[in-house]
Amino acid sequence: MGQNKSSIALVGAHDVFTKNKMLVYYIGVGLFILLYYLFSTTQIYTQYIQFPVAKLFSFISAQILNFIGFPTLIDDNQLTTGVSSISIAKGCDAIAVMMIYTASVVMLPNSSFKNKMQGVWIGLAVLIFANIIRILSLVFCNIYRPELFEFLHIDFWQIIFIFLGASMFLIWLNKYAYASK
Amino acid sequence: MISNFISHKLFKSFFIVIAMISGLQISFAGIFFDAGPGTGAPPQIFKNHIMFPFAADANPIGAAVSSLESPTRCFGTLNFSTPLSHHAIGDGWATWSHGYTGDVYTFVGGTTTTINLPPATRAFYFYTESNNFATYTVNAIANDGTTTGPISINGNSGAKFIGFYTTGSQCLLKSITVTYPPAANGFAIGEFGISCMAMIPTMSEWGLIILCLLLLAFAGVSIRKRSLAVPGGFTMDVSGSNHSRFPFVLRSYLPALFITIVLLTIGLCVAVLGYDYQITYADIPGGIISACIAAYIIHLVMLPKNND
Repeated sequence: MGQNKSSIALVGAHDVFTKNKMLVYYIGVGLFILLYYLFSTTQIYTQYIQFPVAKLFSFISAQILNFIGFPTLIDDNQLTTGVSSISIAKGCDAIAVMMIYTASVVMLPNSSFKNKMQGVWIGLAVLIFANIIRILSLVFCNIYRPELFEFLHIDFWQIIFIFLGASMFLIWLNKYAYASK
Repeated sequence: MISNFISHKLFKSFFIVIAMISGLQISFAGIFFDAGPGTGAPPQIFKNHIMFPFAADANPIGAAVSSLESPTRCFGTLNFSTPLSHHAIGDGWATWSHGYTGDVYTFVGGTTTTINLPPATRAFYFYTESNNFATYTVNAIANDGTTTGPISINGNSGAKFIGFYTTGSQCLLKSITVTYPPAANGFAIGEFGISCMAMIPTMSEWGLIILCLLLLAFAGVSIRKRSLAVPGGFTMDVSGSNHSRFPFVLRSYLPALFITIVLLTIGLCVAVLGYDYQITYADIPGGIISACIAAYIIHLVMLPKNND
């Protein structure tokens, strides 16, 4: 169909180019996440990142609860509202989700630094906001419908976070990743 | 075709990365001890695990008890290596701590007992106190050798919390052996709390793997679609291309899925047989969904350009 040896060779070269780009991206994301996990096992991470982030989530959630009329006490990363007590422990801070999202955005080839930063900041802001909503929903669930706590914690919010992370990334890819001025 | 597929260097490299990501939890898992609140009341959440206290024991006071039904979700029983005597605070056992008045299990004159835990136990705590009203050094050791080290416990209202937890499902808690010195003239254990669920952070290990694979798949489609071969052999990137279409070729996807499921099965078999891993209720759906997405990514890498 009009193909000669040279055009076949060029198509082959293009295939290698695209696949290598993909592969570099996959390896880049893999290494980014690997480094994060290695770092997350250190005391420095626990002391200077995980604990302050959990404390910040507790603080923001407590302020919102106090504002809407639910007196809430915070003790480090423990929220106590009446009979409900919730601890924002390691893993409840959504840092891992944020890191996976950030790695996927930052490593994408051919997207400008500005576009990447835009994707990272907006994505992280949405995930942080969603995590605060999640914490508040768990507090209220623990007060009013404690029998639904496990479902909400294990099933519902997990699916929401997967959906949210994937949607944010897809929107960014389609609309903003390659946007020019 | 399949042999070509397996021998492809891109496939190999990619799978190494995926295996590295998936295997991270395994690399850093283990059983840990935590002294918790000491003589204070037990926590609802212990090291990310929602703890379920054991229900009140229906056995009569004074009965020899060798097993206890564990709370919901744990599907099994807790066993004592030696039958222990069932008592309650104020009814056969004088003191405890933090106002607890429930069931305890005593071994008067004994020095050691092993608590065998239900399958899939991820965190477990108990309180213990010596028979004599004095301070003794106690030691508890988990099935993998993790130990509390010497703990001083006062026999007069000084019952102390001893908690163990695991950071990964491949290293579950199976037993805890408590040892008192003979001078204590026996001991009591009780106020058990257990978690048989996976750790329940924002997302579980499978949730994170699925999210990661989804993002990789989306990005792969995007990278593929943006690179266009143009006549003359140049490659260029085109802004504003249509990303809504996901390239899919069944005859490439099926071998990729087959290989992924075979590798996942081999991995699980190695984990179960070689590392004593206990499959959890999340492994089957999590594994299947991850395998489907991973196979799509591999198929994407393998797909020739003219298949779009």
